[in-house]
Amino acid sequence: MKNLKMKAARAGKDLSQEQLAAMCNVTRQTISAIEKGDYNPTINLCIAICKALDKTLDELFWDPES
Amino acid sequence: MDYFRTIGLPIALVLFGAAIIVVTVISCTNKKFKDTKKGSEQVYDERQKVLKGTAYKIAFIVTAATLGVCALFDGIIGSYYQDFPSAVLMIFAVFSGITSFSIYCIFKEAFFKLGQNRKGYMLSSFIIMVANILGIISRSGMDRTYIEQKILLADALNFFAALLMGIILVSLIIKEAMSKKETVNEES
Repeated sequence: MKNLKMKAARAGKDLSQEQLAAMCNVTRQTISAIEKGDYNPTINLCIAICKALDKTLDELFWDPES
Repeated sequence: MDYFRTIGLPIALVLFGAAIIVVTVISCTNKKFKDTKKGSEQVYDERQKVLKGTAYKIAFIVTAATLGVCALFDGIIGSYYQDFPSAVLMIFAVFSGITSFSIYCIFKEAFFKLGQNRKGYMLSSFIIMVANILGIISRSGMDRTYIEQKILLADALNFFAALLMGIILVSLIIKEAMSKKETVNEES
């Protein structure tokens, strides 16, 4: 399932996938895969992404419908 | 009685195999050999590690399947070409596994670590490929019949090494082109 919240948060911070990947110490393709819903990150990576985007886990990764 | 061949060689092989197992277990459990430390520049990220695990599984299956197919063909080819070395087929099976592993990792973006110099790797692969091709060409000029198994085996190694490097290079070039297109599409 696509993670549009994360994509929107990244766009809000005016960060490219490459830049966000560098901040989280992962590859650009990993960020892309997370946003597309092709990969489920571990909690550590989720936390790193939240810190990079100044958001909480709920705001980026919680899906009330699941 | 030839003690070396009957007793010594099997014992040496068993001890060698045991040593490999012991070293592997120690490297898996010992903290000194654990994954890279924090802040290290070149690491595989978590997604890449998962994909590499899948790639190893695929490589094993491909190698086993190729060995099976080669064993079947060896029975057919061997009946027509008495001097065809079975070892070449085995090397082909191993290289098939390595090639499938490499191609899978390349197209799933799990081949290179973070921060790894891609162009440097491609250049060194190209040099290795050319060196192996030159080795084959230089030997082909000599007066050889290629019936002796050792000579055919040596050329088979060079041939497969050159082929593997060539496949990796082509895959990397294709993947680079695809990645550029993906980046443009995703950022637009």
